Amino acid sequence: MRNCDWTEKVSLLIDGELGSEEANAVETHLGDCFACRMAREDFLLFRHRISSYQPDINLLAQREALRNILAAGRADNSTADPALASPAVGRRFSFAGLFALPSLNPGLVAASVLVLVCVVAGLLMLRGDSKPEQVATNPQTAPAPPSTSAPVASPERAGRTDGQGTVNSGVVDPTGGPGHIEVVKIRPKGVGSNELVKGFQPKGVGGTNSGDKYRPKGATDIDARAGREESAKLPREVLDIPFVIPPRVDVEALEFSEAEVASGVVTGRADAPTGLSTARHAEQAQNLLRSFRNASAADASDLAYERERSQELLYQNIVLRREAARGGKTSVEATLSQLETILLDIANLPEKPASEDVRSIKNRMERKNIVAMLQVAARD
Amino acid sequence: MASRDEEFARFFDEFYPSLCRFLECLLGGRGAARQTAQDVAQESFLQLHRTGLENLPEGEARFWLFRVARNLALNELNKRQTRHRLFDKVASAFRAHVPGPEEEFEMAERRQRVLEMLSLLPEHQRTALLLREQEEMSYREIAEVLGVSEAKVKVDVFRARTSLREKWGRREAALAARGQAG
Repeated sequence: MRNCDWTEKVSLLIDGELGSEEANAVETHLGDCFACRMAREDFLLFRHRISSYQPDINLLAQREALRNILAAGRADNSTADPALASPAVGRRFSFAGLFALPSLNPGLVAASVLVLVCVVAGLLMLRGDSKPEQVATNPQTAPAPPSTSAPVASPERAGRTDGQGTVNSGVVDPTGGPGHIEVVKIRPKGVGSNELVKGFQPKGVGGTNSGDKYRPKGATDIDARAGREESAKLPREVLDIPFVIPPRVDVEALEFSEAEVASGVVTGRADAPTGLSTARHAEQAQNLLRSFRNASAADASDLAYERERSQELLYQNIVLRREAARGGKTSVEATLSQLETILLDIANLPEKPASEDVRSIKNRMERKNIVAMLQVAARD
Repeated sequence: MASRDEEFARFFDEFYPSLCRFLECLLGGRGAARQTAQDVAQESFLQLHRTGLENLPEGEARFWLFRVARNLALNELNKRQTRHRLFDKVASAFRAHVPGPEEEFEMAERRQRVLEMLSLLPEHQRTALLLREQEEMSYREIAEVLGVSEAKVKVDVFRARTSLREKWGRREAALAARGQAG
């Protein structure tokens, strides 16, 4: 496996990290250099394998996790001491909590010894109520028992508090280096700035809905619908937690079954994909993307055509991507996968899209260098 | 409170699966490790809930989350290395039968291959590559999450890819040779 000097540039090209001039130069070089073409194939294959990895989680586990977190959050708010309030999250932490002692202060030890002495001395007479009495007779030394609704967390899990709002949460400070544990300040709501976010600058990433504002536009939706069927079987209290999926074009609903494709049922759909070649599709997609790139975001009506055309091409794209996957054409499949997310975003634009959203899709196109990739796909 | 929780739930629904995916690939997603990945994801979200989405600059919550998750995962990896050093001596004597590929489902097998492939990389390269390929973050965004320079991200991603090519290629060739010999 011989590497050419341009291999690093190929890596940058597929990440969309090259300027247009440099990207063109690398594209030209790719035409002549077999080693670089192989490198690109391999890099795209790795990309495909890594990005198509599906985590092994189901909706029920996800709901449970959310419920635990929200419950922990509520407990935090209802008691001033987060170290005592946070319940163990997850199996590991639940077990850890069993072995955690609230503290080992001398008062507690003295009270325990006293209890033991009493138990031994008057076992029959005092059975059943000796312990509460001992705790109650010495309120100065015995710590208040933790609330039954809020299990005592282990030191590992919940950390300790110094009573000043400073909590050693047992969590690596996100602003610190690897393996570096620092005291993390969790400030009371609405007071001062948060140390955890120091160093972050707002980027002004916007979105069409509240979920999108957290998502740089490239992020892939994985498994958002994986448990939808499962939800029919879920217990009521799990389903009660709000689960909001913004209205989108549903790729799953667009997927054709093998039988459908084989039997030609899909020809009944708009812009039937039968008989299409990848090259032709790549050309059509290029035209659409160029048109979208040149469209003025200020005039929303300009994008009506692009939106509609994206929806049409999405059908074709899904069929061709699946065909490429079946035929083992990994680089074509990877390119079509990249294209699909762009088409989906354009198809999902509202009637009057915010210029920010349009710009962000354009930026993604630029970053992915999708038009250049389509050119290559059309040539191949 | 309700709207704060709703906002959080929406954010959670959007990013919990991708955070689990990232952590599974970072930690290695087999058996108990998979559960650990989900625990770490849950813990990261708990930290986020305590900090409050509203206290983070707009658009930064996702980077903050991945940064916390990565640091928690690093702690977990350190702990695991210590455990493994002690455990491996005993376990080597009772090595369980590793099921052959024909005994596994295709999906599980594919997942396994990805994890094996990623385990060939050092942690910093693996993280940078995962954030690039799975989360589609730009080099600048990855640099922000990891607290390193863009130049380092560029080098790490490239080295991760070339390293995968070499190591994976060698591995496949060895497997093919073994298959022919068999």
